[in-house]
Amino acid sequence: MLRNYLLVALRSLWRQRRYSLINIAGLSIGIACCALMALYVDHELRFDAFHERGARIYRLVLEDSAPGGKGRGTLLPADLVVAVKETVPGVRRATGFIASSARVRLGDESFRMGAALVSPDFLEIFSFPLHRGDPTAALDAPSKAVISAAAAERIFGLEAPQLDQTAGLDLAVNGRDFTVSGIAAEVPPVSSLDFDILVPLEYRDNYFIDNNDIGETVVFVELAPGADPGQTEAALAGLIAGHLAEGIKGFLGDAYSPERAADFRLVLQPLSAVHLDGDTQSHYLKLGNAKYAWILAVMGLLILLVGCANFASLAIGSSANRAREVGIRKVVGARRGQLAQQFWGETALLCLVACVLGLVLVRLALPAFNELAAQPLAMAQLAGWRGPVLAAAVLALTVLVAGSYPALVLSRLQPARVLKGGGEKSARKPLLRGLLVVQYALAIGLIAGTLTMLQQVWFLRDKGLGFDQESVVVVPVPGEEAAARFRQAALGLGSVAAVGTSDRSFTSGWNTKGLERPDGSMGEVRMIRVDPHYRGTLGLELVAGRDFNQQRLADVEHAVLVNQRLVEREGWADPVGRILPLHVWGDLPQPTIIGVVRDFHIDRLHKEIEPLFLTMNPAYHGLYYAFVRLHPGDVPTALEQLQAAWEGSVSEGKFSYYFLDERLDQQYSAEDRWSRILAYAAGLVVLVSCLGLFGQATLAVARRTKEIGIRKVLGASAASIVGLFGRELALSLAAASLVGWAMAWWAMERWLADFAYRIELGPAPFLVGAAIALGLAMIVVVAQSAGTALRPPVETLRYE
Amino acid sequence: MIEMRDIEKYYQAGALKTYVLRHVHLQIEAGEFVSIMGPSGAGKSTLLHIIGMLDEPTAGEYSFLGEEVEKLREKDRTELHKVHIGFVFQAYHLVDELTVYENLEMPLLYQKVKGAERKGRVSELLDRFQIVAKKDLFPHQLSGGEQQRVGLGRALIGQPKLILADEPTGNLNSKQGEEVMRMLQELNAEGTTIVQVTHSETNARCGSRILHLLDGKIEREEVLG
Repeated sequence: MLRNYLLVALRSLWRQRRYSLINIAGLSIGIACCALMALYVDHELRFDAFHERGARIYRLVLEDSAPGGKGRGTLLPADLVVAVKETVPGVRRATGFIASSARVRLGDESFRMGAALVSPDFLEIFSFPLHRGDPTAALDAPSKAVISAAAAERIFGLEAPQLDQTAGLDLAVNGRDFTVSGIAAEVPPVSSLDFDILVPLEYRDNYFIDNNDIGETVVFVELAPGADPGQTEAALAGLIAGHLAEGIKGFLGDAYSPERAADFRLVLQPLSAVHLDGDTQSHYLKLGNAKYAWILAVMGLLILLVGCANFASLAIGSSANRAREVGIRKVVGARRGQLAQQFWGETALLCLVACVLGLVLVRLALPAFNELAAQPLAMAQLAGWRGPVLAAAVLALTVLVAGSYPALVLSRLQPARVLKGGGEKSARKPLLRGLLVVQYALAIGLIAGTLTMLQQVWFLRDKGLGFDQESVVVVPVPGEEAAARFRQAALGLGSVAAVGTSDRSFTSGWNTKGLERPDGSMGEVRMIRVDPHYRGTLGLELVAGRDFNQQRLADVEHAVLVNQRLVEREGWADPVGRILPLHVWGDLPQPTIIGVVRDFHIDRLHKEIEPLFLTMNPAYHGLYYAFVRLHPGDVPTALEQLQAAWEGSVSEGKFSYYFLDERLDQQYSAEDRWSRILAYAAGLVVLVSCLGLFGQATLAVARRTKEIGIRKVLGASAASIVGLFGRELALSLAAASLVGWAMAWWAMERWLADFAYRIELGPAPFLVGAAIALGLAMIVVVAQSAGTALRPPVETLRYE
Repeated sequence: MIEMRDIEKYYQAGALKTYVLRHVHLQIEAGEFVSIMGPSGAGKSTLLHIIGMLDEPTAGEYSFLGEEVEKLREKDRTELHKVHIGFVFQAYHLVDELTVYENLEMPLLYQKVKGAERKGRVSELLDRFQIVAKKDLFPHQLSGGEQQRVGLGRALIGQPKLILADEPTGNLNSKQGEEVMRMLQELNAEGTTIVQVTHSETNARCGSRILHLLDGKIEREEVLG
């Protein structure tokens, strides 16, 4: 029996090889997309699963439980680490985690590395095994540091076999001396916590950045085996009064009241939930994006769905061929269930072929996809039980979706009717049309979505940022004096137009200070430490007052420039000459506003411009970046000259640089990347839809060959016959456009809502999407029907 | 073997009933060879389909081998017809994707006959109908007469008690037609009951009884010597 089914299946696949090919192509593309999606999701889900004690590890999160409150914060005061370990029952170990970039120096050589500031318990809580060193004692003294194997190779040139032999490695991190007490094995790529070097949390004063969070570190705790997280969580409430009250007060600012502060609770978030937590900011951790994982998953399934729709609609279109077989089999004794089985089986066979082909496609496309999505995915993830289970799931889904129509509808046919030759009539037409509408709605929606995303990315790229980012080379410098020396040396070069220095580049975060308003309330203001040449070099426009004057010594301590946003927010009618009411420490004076600069963006365009001031006072921060504006011309030569100038003027560290405009563009790499992924998805949906339409059109023309003949005999022109087919299609596509537009509009409105600076949705992408889909579909249908329409009617009528 | 009492078949469109069969009383004993004749649209095929349980009457009683057909579940009805009835069609209705051998074998697969026996029975039929040489060909590679021999063979392979033939010679030339009729007569002589629908007076006379159908009613019956 099975052999019989198999033979019929293979022979009918072969006899209708054109449709088989369309089906297999569509399904294998869909299956390949689903497999890629599954690899991606699998990779995201593997994050942080390698920690042995993972099930008992939690992150502390401060939650504002008031409706419409401030949400959740993960940066907490560092003293909480010890307090939670010592006072909260059920907590066995605790650690802080601050990731930062550090300058590591060995002799004359200097390296920029990812440093993590952690507590002594860190290596016992998390499973980062050491090649050398004792995890319980590796970080128990202020001068001990642990480096990763990769860092050991980079700094000391240690190869793998030497990692457990070397003793007494010393190095300096940000100017402090450390002894290497352990070498950690490579941090797995699926770790949210990443580091090249671990140093004790006590050094946080070097990294401390005030901001609008309550503390400076992420806190992880490990519960004792058997401890009840619920009870532990309840006990955390006791910490708020002693450690968080001040922070909450500052955090709430104007909105503070004791009742309001009581809304804040400390909660335990399981480690497994951390990586894909989209609610909290990514502070220090490598977080995934659940939203993009969803988008990808939905897209993979959509492409598969379009392939399935092809299968179903071709099965409907060619069902007349199979109807007779159903009738015969029923006459000789087949039951309905047996026939349904046979058709499921045939679908399964085809899907199996598509599945194998799909996996081959994945293998071929994986490197390109990894590059496109910036992911380290590998086929090896499918080893073990995951691959077979996944393949079975995709196969079952495909067979179910694609094979249901033939199995359930064809097997129901009445032999007495189909064998008489009447066949089943037009009931299937609405279904066919429905499938077509769904396919093209997806295609049109995806094209419109892709174009909208591209528009937004272009908009972000082209939007004036309030300064001139072209031809600016950013050179990190080790400090104040070095910055001055390098500046002088660079200014001597013919290729350099101007040099300004600052404490930060545009993409490296910001410093926040407090403002004390006369009414006692607090405000926030961002700060950039600059030199007097900064504004001129970057082309920031002065709208009122004057620039810093390097001749005036008083400007260093007593003068600041502010941006328009600060003036607007504070409602100052005449800002120039006004004292900036900065919350200052020690004997620092409150500075005077000497000028106002036009608003400029220091943050991604997802965010609004924030109030800001510029100061020259070295008491606030050092100078770590030089902005070199080059004259237009020979850039490689200019860079060589800059390097020579560096070597002549700066003794410590190596010359490194990047172009400001490129770095700013990189901020939108996620948007750029996802618009390209969407473009590919849209292309595939269009391709698979057109394949299906091609098969559909072939069937329709074959079905109506006689009609075409009769119409021609009665005097219809070839053009009017082609028009007949085109008109039907145009109606379906008009419906598809409406559905596709609605989907794209909804999705894009949501996506754009993430940007403070965004385009408004216009009709162009939607019209272009519909035009592309309609155009391609028309070409397919006209090409198919024209062949028959042009044949002499004698031939087409003889067809019967 | 077959007993029909007051069988009716009609289609209802609004208040209007269109009758295909009306007040049909029919009794066929085992071993008979009955021909049903009548003009197009008289209801011959519908009657044959109802006898073969491919179609259901709208009203009336039908018992086959003593079983009341309308009381059976679909599954049992399939079981009944698959074991006891073989069909032969004017258009042969062979499965295009299967060879002669596989077409003949198909009913046995649905009857769950074991492999060795299946092989024996198919070989026997191939011999009997002299189509051994054609067993690996597909239907479209055969002449009409050969196709109908396969069709007849397929109807016989389950060793049914009753053969229902719907104009079995309709698509054949006269020589091929005679041959098919000769085979049916042989089968009847061996004890198989046969009911055929035919337009041909000559073919009808091969049987033992002729039912003349007109507008859904049995107009007259003719018993042949």
